[in-house]
Amino acid sequence: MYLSPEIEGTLHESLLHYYKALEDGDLSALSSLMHRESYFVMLHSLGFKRVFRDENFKTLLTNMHADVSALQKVVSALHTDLLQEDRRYKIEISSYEPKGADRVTVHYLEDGHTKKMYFEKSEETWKINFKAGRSKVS
Amino acid sequence: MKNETNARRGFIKIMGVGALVAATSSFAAGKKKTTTTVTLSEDQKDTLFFIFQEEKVARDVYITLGKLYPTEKTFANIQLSEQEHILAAQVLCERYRIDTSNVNLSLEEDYIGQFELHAMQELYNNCIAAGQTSLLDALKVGRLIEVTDIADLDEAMEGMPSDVVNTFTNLKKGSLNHLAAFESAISRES
Repeated sequence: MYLSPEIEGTLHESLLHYYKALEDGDLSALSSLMHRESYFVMLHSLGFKRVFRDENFKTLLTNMHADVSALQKVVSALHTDLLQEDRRYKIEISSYEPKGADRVTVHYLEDGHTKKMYFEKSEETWKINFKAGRSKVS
Repeated sequence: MKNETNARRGFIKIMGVGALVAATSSFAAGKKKTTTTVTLSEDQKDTLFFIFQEEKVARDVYITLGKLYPTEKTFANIQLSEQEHILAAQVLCERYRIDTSNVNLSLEEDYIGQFELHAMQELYNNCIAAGQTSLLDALKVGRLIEVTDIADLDEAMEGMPSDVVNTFTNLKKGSLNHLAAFESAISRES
């Protein structure tokens, strides 16, 4: 599949925004870049340390899928954690790998480490989907 | 405990049905082998592939925590079993023609704790951060991983064909054994 420069630019920009959102603790921005399920995966990953020491947070994380109030509290707590961590990333795109008509894997370096991010087009918008790592047509 | 089962539940969601995939299913040893056409949706295939990638997190966490606490043998014992879990998930992927060749499962030191997918790197990093404070916390990390694995497998089985269910059931038995081992070690350390 041919990837236009426009699509590559969109994916590049989205990836940089993803990392900027983590640096800024801006989970609202993060949410806008991701499929909903992947966003929740990310919240679970980011929240692991807090889950480990905070029973109440564990309950919030469990309930956030169906409870907006719980989700807001999770987001607020993780926003604070991310700001305290003072994250900084250096991202360099290596290549774009089409995976069928509506999926692309972006290969890149994160602080020199080889990484990849899976994107899927949904309703004309490219979003990060951690489960979109394979081509739908095998 | 019930709440712990949901700590990583967002990792796996079971989807509907869709595309046809030809797959071979075998009855247990001594019974007749048959070839059947199994319906597996693209979303289910995505889930299988994701589980396969995710299995590396548990293995690498136990390898790293085992090095941090070399006198605690629970980690060393279980990491071997986790490698078998990875291979079992890989067999399932290959059976359903899901390409796993681009996932690096190397046991070389440079690759342990390295994940190409950012969410998994985050999870690994946070498991290690939580576990490096004390041996007791490390064991509790192991317990949390196993509890959530069991819940994830239960959820992942829903709607899957029998060969997938059989494999996941075996993985769950393994996780229950790991959980018992961590519970025992936690009791000893507490």
